[in-house]
Amino acid sequence: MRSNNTLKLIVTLSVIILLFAGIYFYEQSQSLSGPGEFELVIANENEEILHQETLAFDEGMSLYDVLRTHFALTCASNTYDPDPTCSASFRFFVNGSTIDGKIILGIEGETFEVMTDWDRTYLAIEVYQNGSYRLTTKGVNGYTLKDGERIRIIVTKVSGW
Amino acid sequence: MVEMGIKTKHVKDVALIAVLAAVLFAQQIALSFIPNVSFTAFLIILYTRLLGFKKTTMIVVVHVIATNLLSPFGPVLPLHIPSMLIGWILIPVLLSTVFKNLNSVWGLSLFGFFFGFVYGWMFIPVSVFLLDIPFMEYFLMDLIFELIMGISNFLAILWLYEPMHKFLSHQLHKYYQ
Repeated sequence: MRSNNTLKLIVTLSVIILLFAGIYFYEQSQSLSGPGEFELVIANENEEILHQETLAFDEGMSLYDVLRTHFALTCASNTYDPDPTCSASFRFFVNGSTIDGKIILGIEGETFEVMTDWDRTYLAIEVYQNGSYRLTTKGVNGYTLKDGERIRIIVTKVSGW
Repeated sequence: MVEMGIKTKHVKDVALIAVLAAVLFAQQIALSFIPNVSFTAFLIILYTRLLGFKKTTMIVVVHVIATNLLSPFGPVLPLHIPSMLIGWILIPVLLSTVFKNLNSVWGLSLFGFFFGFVYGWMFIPVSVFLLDIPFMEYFLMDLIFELIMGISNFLAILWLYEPMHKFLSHQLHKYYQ
């Protein structure tokens, strides 16, 4: 009985250590890199490119920080209405911890503007990999920018509309 | 006299199902601030081994309805309710068929660990085919949550199954006397 409990204890500690080690190394691999540059493509729902530019980012900057620096953003308020002040935050679970993230509804540059309403359309963030765009698994605050990659923000219809 | 006995047993069964479903619901709500950590799989495994397939399935049905109607955090997407129901019912189904003879605590712990992944996969068809979420992105993002659920199931069963089985079987014996 005692040896069985000892074995349980050893297995439990091993599993917990492995879990935390896994989360630690995963977080390390996902930590913000930089400084660097990435190519930003903004497209409408027909995949027509409205804007294309190479942007620089510093260490610790999120995609949201970079977009905020270069464009006028419209974010979602707590009721998902357009909010140009981007004051509302949404709590997301990213890399084992929660972050206060933003939801971007619209982006306005000098020569273009995209706007979504969250109900029928939204801005999807995609990364170019192996010859095609792949949806990122994280939002504008949680996505880890990598030097030299291409990111496309595209107006996307919500399923069913 | 015999008929009275059967009726009394049925009343006791109904009361027991309600109480055990309430326990299942309460612990899930109490632990819902930690993503994918709960004693739900452990309790359903315990119920299956003590009460059998039918009663456990009824407890699961009550639990899923209660979670979706009464949770202070709001219901899950209605489209996900069948996935949730099938996912939890899979435990009594598997433990009454394929793993009928699985009774050791280590075996059940491993079952709980792998079930953490299987439960997560139950939500893939609706997410991919009806909500248009890309399969690979969904699969990869969910793996960490499935791992957390698997480990919490494993540890809960490893440490609590034997004492709770002993305690509850004793209580059930007294209850049906």
